[in-house]
Amino acid sequence: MKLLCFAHRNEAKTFFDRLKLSPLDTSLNLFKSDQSFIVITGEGIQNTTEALSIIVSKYEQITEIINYGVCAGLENSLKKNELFSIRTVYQYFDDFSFKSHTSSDEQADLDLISVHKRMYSPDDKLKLSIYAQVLDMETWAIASVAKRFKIPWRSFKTISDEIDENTDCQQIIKDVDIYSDLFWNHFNSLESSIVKKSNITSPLLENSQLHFTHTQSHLVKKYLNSLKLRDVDFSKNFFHSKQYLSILESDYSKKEKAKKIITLLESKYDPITSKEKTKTKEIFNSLKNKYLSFDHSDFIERSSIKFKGQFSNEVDLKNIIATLESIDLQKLKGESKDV
Amino acid sequence: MFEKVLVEKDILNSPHTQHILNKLKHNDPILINKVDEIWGKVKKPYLQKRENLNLFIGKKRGTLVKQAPDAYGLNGDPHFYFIHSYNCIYECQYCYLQGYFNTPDLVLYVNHDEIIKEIETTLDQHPNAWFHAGEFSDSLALNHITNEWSQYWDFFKARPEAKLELRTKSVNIKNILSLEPLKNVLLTFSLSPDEPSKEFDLKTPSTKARIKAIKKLSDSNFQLGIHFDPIIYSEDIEKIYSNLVDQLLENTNLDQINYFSLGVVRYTKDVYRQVESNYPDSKLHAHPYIKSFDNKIRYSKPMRNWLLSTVKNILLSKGVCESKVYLCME
Repeated sequence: MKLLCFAHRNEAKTFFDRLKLSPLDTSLNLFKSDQSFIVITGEGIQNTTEALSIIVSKYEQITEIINYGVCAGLENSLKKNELFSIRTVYQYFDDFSFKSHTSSDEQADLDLISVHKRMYSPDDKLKLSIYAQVLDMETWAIASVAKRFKIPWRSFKTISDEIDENTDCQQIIKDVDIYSDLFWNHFNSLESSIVKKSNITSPLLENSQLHFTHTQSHLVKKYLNSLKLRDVDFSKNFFHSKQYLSILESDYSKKEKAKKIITLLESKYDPITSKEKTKTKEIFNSLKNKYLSFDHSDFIERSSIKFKGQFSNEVDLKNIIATLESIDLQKLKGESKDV
Repeated sequence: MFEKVLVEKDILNSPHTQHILNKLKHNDPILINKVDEIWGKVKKPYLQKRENLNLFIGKKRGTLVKQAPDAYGLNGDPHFYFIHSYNCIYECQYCYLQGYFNTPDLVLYVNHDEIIKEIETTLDQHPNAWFHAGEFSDSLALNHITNEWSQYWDFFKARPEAKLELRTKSVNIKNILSLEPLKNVLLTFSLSPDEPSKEFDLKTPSTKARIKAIKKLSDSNFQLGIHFDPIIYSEDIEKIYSNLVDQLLENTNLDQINYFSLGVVRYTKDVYRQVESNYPDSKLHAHPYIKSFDNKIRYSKPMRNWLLSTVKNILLSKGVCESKVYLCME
């Protein structure tokens, strides 16, 4: 469900006229229709942050925040009475904040800076215009809260005035009906630009003949995604391959089959490293005995082997030394040897 | 080309600044105190460089010449780099600049006299040193606007024991061709085969165009270097690099190529995060990476070694002397 966010009630006037809104929480100025929530936050970053934080944490059904409002232009070339989608929002509070937030609207092309107090002077205008084309007092708060709650946000603004000491606030108030109609018309034509991430899992992970642990499932997804980037038909071909089918038809347990399929995918994903890993594993398994065990997980990248020995007499110790001396490091390095 | 041009007040009237502003036909820059007070102070998303790129012109302060990292350049000689510019107009998907600075906005520094002076001081302490430009920018991409290299040429002509490398992916060599070829000044090109270049080197001149530029420089007796960096895995790596080396050697006098540096694609953790976020569907993610010995994200060691040895063997089989081939950052 969408949360529509306005700073002033007048900006939302047409929404109140057209939608059947019922008050949900009067202390928060929160209203609800069949399709969406509407909040009137009041002016400024503090008010907006407080209201949105409470609402978003309380109503988990909110999946997107959409903001409509008026803003001031920092560039003379921008037209009034047009609606702009905000791309990135910055904040100025005595100085520029390092953070910025980018909206989920990929078509957005105007940057906005939110300030904490009204700014009028030509110096302010010049300074702020380095980062943004328009200015308001709320959008940064909307974007910050949305980010904190991992909710996508979009902001649509119309320019009511340019930063100027002679700004006619009365005129802006008079024109607010026009702005509200503009927002309403846009909202009605709005199609969700949020593309939901595909939740389709691989048939491999849903196959009842296999059992993957949580970690293994992640690994399978990673391998399949990468292999699909190389070859769009990879999955189709893989599921018809003899190697895959023979694992499925084998007598191994579900867990063992899953493990073998991961090894098979790994050999496709990174054939060179996979070959080296298999070789290293075989060598160290053959060296392993009751006195000595090896951890070779770091061998391929760092040529480093950890081993653990256990002895209780001189014969055991001699066995350990003999086993270690039998390791042919040069042969072992193989492909890992420096060029 | 640039949305806004911001110039430090103190250097507004310097000939270099005026030259740049004239070339950009920009008469009304925004005047600022210092680049560092604004540039990179705010996180500006990297891909906004596509629509909204600003240019800062200023004076580089602090250390102007810095020691290059280990495994940089040919062995033996000391290597340094100097900063005359930050950021780049190109958009290579693997580029480390996307995670290095907080903004894609470009900076051009114009206090070349001071940079050259510091190069001189460094050279006095480290005779035979190499000085590299293009660590944080492309050395030639904006040369038609900046035209700064003639000043460096004069210095390096007078100090033949020092070496200068200008590293580029551009074909912007008109101003360079008007200069005298010097034995100790190398124009070096980053090259990739056609297919990966089209896929990953966005907004850069094609491989064919780069080889054409290399030929022009070779024909005019300029000293050259080639960077096959980054090498990105593909199944036909042998074929595509073999074709690339053939094309290059058909158009260039091998004696003028001082070195071939080979490097496999790599990222710091921050850069890799940016690459994932900026180019989520890129084929750069089609091949496995690991956190490597230096905490950089790379292919596994067997894969790196295989790629490096494959490309190195191609070079050797086509007559390149082994001493001219070095592995970068390995």
